[in-house]
Amino acid sequence: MNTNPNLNIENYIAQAMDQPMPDKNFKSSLRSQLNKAYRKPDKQISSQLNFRPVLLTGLATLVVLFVAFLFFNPNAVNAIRSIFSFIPGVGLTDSTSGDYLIVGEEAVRVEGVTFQVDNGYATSDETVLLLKVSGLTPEMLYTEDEHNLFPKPVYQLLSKANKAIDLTEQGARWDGISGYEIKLIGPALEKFNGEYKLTMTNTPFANPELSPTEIELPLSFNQISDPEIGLPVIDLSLPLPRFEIGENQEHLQSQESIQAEATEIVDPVQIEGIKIVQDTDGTILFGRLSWNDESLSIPRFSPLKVVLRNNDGENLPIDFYPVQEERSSNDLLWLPWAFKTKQSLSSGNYEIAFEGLVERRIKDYPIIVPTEVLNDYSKLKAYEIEIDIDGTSIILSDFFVSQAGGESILSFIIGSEGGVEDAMVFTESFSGLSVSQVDNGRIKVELRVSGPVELSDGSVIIKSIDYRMKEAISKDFVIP
Amino acid sequence: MTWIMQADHEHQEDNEALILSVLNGEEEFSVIYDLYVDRIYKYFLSRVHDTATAEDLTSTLFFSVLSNLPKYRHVGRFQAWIFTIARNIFYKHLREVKQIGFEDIESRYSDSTNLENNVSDQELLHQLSTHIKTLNDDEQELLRLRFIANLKFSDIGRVIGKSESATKKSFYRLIERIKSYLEMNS
Repeated sequence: MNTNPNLNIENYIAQAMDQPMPDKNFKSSLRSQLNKAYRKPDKQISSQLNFRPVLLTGLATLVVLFVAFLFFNPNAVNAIRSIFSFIPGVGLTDSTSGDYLIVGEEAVRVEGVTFQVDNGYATSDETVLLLKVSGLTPEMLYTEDEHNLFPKPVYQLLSKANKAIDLTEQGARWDGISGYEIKLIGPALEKFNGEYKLTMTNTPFANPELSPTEIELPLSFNQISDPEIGLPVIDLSLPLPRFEIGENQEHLQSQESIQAEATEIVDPVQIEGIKIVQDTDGTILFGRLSWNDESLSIPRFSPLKVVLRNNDGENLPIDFYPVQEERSSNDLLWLPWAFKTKQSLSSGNYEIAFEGLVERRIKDYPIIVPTEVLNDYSKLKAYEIEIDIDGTSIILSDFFVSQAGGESILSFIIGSEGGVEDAMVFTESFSGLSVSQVDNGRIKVELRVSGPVELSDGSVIIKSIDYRMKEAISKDFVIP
Repeated sequence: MTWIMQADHEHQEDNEALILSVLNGEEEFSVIYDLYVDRIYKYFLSRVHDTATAEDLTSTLFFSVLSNLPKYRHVGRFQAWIFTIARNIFYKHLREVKQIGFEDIESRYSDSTNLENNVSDQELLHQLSTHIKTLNDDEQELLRLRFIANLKFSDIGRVIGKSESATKKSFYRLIERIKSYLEMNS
């Protein structure tokens, strides 16, 4: 008997995460394509070379003579060493090539700040480390305006023999005082020894007078037996607050500003904290969507349309920019977003607008249908209920109730001008729910209930509705 | 709750014998395909939330496995190998489209609705489903690799580049957090 108390919750999580099976046609079609493309490897054949005793004796003699030659001739040893050292996996030198993975390192705590490198790798092309820093106080962190006043940390990876390679910051996942992760990248290690230490002159993103300096983190690498397995994906692409441009420094100097103007509020949701980073091939804009109503959530950031306009009212092409901003708490009422323009934006006034954001309203909306309507099929069919959510009108229509074999099915359609995507409906003796898209703006809800369904007393309740906002939310910002 | 967790993480080494027979040319490649296609597809679907893209990525994965199979050395870690490739294919896809969110049609919780569940189960699943989506990407990936890919902790560790004990620690800490969230909201 399994007594693991977590098992039950794990079962529920597994079910909540479960996905539909692949389509049978797709599966069989891919299967036959793969079968066509597959060529069986030759079965492993044992060596068919049969050495004769005479040949073996001759070979042994040659080996003895060769070893004796090496023993008495150091120049020959060096020559052979240099030849073999070019062949991966074979050699007489202590350097080896291949891929190495960081062994999960314990965190190091200095003056209350925690530093940790528990992910990273070294290959013949590059060395990549993921540095995690947490526990900084607000006083330690410098403000957005201060970043040019403080020195940037110098990162080095030092071997036991004190040979160093320089590492540079390439990206970060930033969450202010809750902590951050920095991707450090450097050249390949010349000679590989398992034990290293990462040193940094001061704490990144922090005032060096108030935060730890001269930090050392021990690191060790393990060789990966199979390179295909090991290399982790360290894909942090959010630029650092002080992102620097290598070329054309004068024109492309990093610029960053937090716009303080009040958001134009057409909804409890607001665009806030726009940050601007000039890259060589475009401008990166990133910020947050926030809301202050706990009955509201934005299940994901997926507007139907994102518009960026300049002061002349021209729409400027824009792409989503991949960002992974860690949300340290599940109660946070915000979502991150980021975009990149196709060309660098010059100084001026701009407006960004998100149209068709999906909002999830988590609130009980009882469905009440008068008894006289319930008793008349055609009246029920034509009956409509309107729910007003912050000015967005949600219409429930096309009610239908059927009963068979002790089970009732209630179906109805939920629609709104902006479009409805999902809903959760409950009642007592509930036995199942399915939701399907009718058309672009409407969904059909089918609720199964054991016994009769009661629509006159408010016991059937909509628990949440996901709908697209009709109005766009927008914000003006300035590039200085 | 009638649903029974299908994952039997600790008894999947047996598959290695089958993998070995494919590598030796004794079995067809379809043996590997049949073993993994459902889990690989579900893994991709849980990341991209779009069946067509999940199918494309699944095809890419299996053709990649087919061409890289000779490079795989039988070290008893085929699952970690195939899901590392899956993860890399997903991130490559992400870099190519650079469009997080535009086509992000969230998979509906009704997809996983089991009609035999009672109200409280349904409520719990809805809460869980909503809550899981608020977790950060690393935490969601940990749950995905455990519950969708059905990997053992040692294999998850290999895929995400952590030790087995660190992976276990993160996993159980996460489960505890989810539990306390549910308790607080129940």
